[in-house]
Amino acid sequence: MKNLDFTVLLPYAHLVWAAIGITLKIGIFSFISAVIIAIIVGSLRARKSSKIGSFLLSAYVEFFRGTPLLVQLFVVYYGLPSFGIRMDPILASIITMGLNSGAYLSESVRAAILSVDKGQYEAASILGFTSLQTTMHIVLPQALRIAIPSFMNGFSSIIKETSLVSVLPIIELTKLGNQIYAKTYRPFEIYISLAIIYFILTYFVTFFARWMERKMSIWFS
Amino acid sequence: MVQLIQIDQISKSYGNQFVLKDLQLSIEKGEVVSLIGSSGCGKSTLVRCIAGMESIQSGKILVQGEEVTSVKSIAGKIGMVFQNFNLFPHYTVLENVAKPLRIINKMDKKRSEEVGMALLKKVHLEENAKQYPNTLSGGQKQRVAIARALAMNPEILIFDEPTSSLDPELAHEVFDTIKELAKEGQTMIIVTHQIHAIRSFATRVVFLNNGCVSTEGTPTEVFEHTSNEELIQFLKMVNLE
Repeated sequence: MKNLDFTVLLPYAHLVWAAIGITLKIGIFSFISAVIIAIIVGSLRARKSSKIGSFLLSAYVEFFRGTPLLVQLFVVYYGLPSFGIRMDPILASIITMGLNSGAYLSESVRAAILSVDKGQYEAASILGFTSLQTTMHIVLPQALRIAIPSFMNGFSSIIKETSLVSVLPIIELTKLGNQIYAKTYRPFEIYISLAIIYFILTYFVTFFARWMERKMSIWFS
Repeated sequence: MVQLIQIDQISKSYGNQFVLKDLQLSIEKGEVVSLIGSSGCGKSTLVRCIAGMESIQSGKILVQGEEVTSVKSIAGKIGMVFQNFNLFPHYTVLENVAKPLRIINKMDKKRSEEVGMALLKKVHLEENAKQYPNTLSGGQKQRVAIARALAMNPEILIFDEPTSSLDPELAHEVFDTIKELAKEGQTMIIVTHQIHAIRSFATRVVFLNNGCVSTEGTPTEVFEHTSNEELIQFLKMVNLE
């Protein structure tokens, strides 16, 4: 077994910070897009909608859940230019990962909305809330609290899945690791360091999720 | 007297099972009507139909002259207090009362909170304004629900078994609040099994049996001078509980 030597990474330390920045940029913006998509799609799917509307929403969710993220990235970044739609690789990553994660999270939002007690709708309607007001002020705040653990799992997954965008011309953490490997031939040191960095990033997300859950648990006994 | 509710020959069934059958009833302003009857006789269904929360198969219900077709059709006219409170758990006690005023009546925050605090004072819960519902006792929760319903200034307040999930001591708190409202002339319909609690303030007691009005009258007439066999049986059963 070779002696481990992590000092070979030191000359690249300054590049790591930039790569973490890109990873976080893709991760955070993908997550924000995913949450917005999930709330809209999940809310619409939880209520009775027209057949065509329900078919389209279902098709979106099933397509993004039923195909690999890597293939979706290829379709968006390499496939869409055939139709004249060209975009920056970071934007393509954010859009694809937002749509992909949004499809998964929308199911959590839908389930959370359906789990809100029927009495809440009755109380709101007798007070005079409209359907939209009931959703915005009564149902969603409660449903989102229920969905927070799923959201935070989704955020952790997105941070880890950003490694897939290394197939696009973006120097995020994994791509940087591959490039350093090509120069140093020290795979263990490089990839274990990458794993630790990803772990720290996702650990902070988990920590934040627990804090959020504790803060919102005040509503429920 | 001004007639607020006119129920005209209504019927309601679930499949082949009739819950309300050609039921006729009218309620005037300032009346406190208590609906009694054994479980499954249609009391809760009747009040849910009045509130527009259940549809009827035949007949019609008029609230202040307007036909009830949905909850929206009687918006603002009827307030309802539920057995399970149905408070909004993510709002504080004050927000439960004040938020609907802001959202529905577009009242500004300061004014809605002033009105909310005045209503909480009325139900003796001003000190609990900043608490969340999960920290309150059952009786306190129900009083918040009453304050919330009153916030919309409804002509008619409906109580659907407001104390059935409460201990007798807590039920007493709730009935005290209802009694105060009765003194102020609030029109109310109260579905309850607790006949001892309502006899001092109900202006009329309606006994439902098999989906229709079997007997009605003042508490004294209904509880003390009835010859209705089903009612006598029901009263015996309730007194034994």
